[in-house]
Amino acid sequence: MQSRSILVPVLLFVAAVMFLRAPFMIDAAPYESTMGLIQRIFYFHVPSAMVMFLSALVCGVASAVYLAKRSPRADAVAVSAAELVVVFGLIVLVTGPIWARKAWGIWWQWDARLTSALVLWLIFVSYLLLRRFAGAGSEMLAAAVGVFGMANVPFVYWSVNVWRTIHPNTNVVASLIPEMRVPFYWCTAAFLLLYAALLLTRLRLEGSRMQLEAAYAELED
Amino acid sequence: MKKCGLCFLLLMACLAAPMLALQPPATQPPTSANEFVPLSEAAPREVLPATPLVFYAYGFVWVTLLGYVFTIWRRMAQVERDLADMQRRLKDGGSAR
Amino acid sequence: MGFLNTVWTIARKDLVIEARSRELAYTTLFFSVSVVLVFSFSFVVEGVALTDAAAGILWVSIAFAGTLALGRTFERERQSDTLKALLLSPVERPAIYIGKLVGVLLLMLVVEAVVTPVVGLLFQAPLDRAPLLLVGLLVTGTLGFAGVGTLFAAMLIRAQSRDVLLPVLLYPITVPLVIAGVRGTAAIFAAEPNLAVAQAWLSMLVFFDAVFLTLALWVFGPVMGE
Repeated sequence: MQSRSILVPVLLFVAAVMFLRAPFMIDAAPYESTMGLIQRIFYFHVPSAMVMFLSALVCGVASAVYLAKRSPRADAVAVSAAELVVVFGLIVLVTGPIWARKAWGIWWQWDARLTSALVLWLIFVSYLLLRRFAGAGSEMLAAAVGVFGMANVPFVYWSVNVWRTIHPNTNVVASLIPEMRVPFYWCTAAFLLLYAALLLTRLRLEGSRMQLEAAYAELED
Repeated sequence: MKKCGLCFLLLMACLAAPMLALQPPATQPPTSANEFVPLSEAAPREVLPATPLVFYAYGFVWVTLLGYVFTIWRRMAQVERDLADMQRRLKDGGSAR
Repeated sequence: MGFLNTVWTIARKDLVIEARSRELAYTTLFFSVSVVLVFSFSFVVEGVALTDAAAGILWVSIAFAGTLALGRTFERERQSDTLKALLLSPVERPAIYIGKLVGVLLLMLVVEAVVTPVVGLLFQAPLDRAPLLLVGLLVTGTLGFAGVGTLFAAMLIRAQSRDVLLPVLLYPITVPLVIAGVRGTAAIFAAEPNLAVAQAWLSMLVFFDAVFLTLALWVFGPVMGE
């Protein structure tokens, strides 16, 4: 407990310093030839998407552990991760169309990546809705949704990909020139640190909540 | 009372009639403004300034993240308050028993 | 033998109830026909249906009717707590799941047997072009949908606001099935049919079914067990 209470501020501090430095690095990066300034959204959009998928993975694994072992800790990790999927997913789904408005001329395209991100986001929104509105015993049900949600990521992506795609693919990252790659990795690292800090903070909240519920149970006895 | 309601309805009908008459032209805007212009036909790059869009995007990221941190902080405060309250009640209940 | 017997007993129980009242078959059937009607207003422009409209409408009405049937089937079990009794009986969890799944699946297939010709008739869809492939797509797509749906409807049985939560959970998760079903059917119905594409989507559906059913069988035990 003691180590974690130091860990979160340290993570937040490092992430904050990195985020403060990030605009200067992004500003110093060269303009992309065809997209110009708008390409700069990419430095925050792609790391958010990475964090979103990572968080979905964390939620799915934690849900599977909860289903198998019924440990309350796994459930706390799952719900925290699911909430962060929705937060980072929102960032992805809003910054993406802003970029698309300029680069493609339209806000939304039914393209593979966009659609699969939207579907993934919806699955985790439904996860949170289930936990919020299903009443007692929703942890177990939510765990089933978490497992299906994670298993679904590749399928949704695959099926939509066969359906259609116009989004720049992941090779873009590898093809970046060093001047662009450095700020990109810098932002990715900052987002990952921020994610870790937020996840740990959210876990602490869940821990306090469990303590509260235990106290309620004690009071009723 | 009933008469009053009828008068009101009639008045509404009178007001609504010209509105309805006005509507058909309003539903037919120039089609060109409504149509999606594909990327290949026009260069929207020059039409749309990128700076505000980039600004909005980054602004949204920060507002969302800070908003989320704020909700965590508020929920945490709430739970902590409840917990303190509960512990006080537990102590009181324990001494009373 | 014991396992299959149990499965069949549970499925037969549902089918006998349904055969006596015919409540679900009739309501679901007419519901899906009305869905087709409502969609025809948005997808028929100047008397001509949009491209691929028939495939899309068929699958949407199947998904909607399936949700309705799933909700009702489990509502029946809830009313007199029969699912709890079923879970308390010395029967393996997978057998209960498969038994319920068979019941839902057969009901949905009966509905499809009527809705598909209706869509074919109203939208001039060439049902006889590749009947076996079409049946394959419908059966595998419905199997996956009913498989995920049975799991979620069963686990939501004790939850509050279950009637709203079922579609909210079910539709995003069954997206791959719906895409595969619609694209496969559209490939058959298209003006220039591409049966190889339809076959590819069919094999994709088989794969999805295998993964979804395995997951559902694994999850059903812990979710329903106490």
